[in-house]
Amino acid sequence: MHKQIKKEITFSFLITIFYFISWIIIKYIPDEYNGIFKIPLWFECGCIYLPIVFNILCILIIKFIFV
Amino acid sequence: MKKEIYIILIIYFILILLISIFSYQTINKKNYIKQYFVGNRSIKGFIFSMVLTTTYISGSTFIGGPGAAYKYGLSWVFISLIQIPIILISTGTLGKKISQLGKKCNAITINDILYEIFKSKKIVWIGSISLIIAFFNSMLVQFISASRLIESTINIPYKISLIIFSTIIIIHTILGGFKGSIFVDVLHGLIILIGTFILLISTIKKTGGFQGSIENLKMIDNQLISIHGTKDIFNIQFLISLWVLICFGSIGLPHLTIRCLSFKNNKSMKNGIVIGTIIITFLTFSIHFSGAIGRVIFPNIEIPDQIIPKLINTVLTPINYGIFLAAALSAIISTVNAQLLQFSATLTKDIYLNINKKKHNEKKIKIISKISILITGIILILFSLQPPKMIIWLNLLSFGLLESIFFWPLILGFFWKKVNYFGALLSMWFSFIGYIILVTFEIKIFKFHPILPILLFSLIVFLIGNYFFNLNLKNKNPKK
Repeated sequence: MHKQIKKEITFSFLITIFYFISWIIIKYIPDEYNGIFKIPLWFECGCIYLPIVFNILCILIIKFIFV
Repeated sequence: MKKEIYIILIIYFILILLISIFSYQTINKKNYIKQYFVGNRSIKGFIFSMVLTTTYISGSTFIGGPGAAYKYGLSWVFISLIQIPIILISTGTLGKKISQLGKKCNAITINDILYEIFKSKKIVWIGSISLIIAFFNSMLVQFISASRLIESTINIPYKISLIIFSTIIIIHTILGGFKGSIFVDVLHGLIILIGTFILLISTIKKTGGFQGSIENLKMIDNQLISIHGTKDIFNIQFLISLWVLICFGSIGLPHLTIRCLSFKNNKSMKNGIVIGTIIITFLTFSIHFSGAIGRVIFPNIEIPDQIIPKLINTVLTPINYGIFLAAALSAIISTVNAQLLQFSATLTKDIYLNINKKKHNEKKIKIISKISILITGIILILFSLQPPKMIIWLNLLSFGLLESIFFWPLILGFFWKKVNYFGALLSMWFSFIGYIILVTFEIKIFKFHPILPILLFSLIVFLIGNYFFNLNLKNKNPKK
């Protein structure tokens, strides 16, 4: 049981850290670039794609890692 | 002012009161305390996610947050999204441990949990004191934002709105307890989702479509759609502080972690995390984005906090207006309800029963806990009569105090075998005094928000205290 909880915590932290690092990287996208929707690329990545990716990762680890 | 808005609000308030009365009658006379404060540990996934999100989403989400987005532009939408891992990180990590321990020792407050780990009354004392200060502060902010919201939207004077709102919430909490708040939380969660969705769609339509609104924003000020915001306040220290404060540090938020006492089994916890995270993501994005592009319609508002009230006044039809208002009030009521219950549980169970060691029957505890809610409510009303200007900072202040105090004792207490009460006690006192000093005198160490240096140093204090206490134990019992 204890091992399982450790595993769950590790993965929860891992995807949060992943989210954190991606967030930081997106912060350094210059303003001039535009994305597919013709809006600033940083906004598209940071406020649309990244949250969706995070949610998918969250669902995946809950489904396959958590007991 | 349109009739429909009043009708919807009145229906909403009556619904809350009816549910409270209904749940008051279904509370079993046996195990009263457990049912009243933690809902008998039997909540399933979907409802658990609603309980979590409505507890977390508060008045500042609807007023202060969009206000900041209005002021700083799209970059604040990006910044607000820092908080979306909050449910995963608070429930996914400590949830199971807290639930197991809670079932074992019949806990109803965060201090019960700490007592079970450290076996020290001194920890309960410092825990209770800080919880009472911080919750009081936070509830005050909620009372003020609710009354101000009613005042600025349907033009009822501030003092009257304050009294109407607080009477409803006090009656709701006294009658319903946690069980009542579960039913109401589901209702609230749904209203919040629908209301926010309507606001997002209507605002986008009114400001020229998804891309159009951003184009229009660009015309007002190029910096509004820049990642750096209108003023360059987003330095690296500020951002790291925010990450700690509204994402990682949320492990230490008692009213959130304590909700883990209420879920039924692992399956309900898992579903709760998934649904809760999706809801939080949607809500955070929608409400902040609406606030940011609201600037297209109102380019010059002096107090940014007024953006949402002004926005709903122009973009929504009267019925939707009523629904949104109910949603914002729901967010506030459910948060205050959770905090008021923990507040009263702390007062009665952790403080009163600790001082007064005579045998108590459940009936007496029941009366005391209800009286304490009533008195707290009245004091809150008295304090709310003089509201401050920017709500979001006050709210962060009370969150920060709780996080800095409970963060390490909870984490180390659960996951470190050599932990002892002395280290925890030292670090809690250190954070308590240190945080209040840093915030009151606005001392910034390397431009960081106080939460960062305090968390760092309280860890060091914790480890040192722990080391010396263990050393002392070893000297006393050399055989071990």
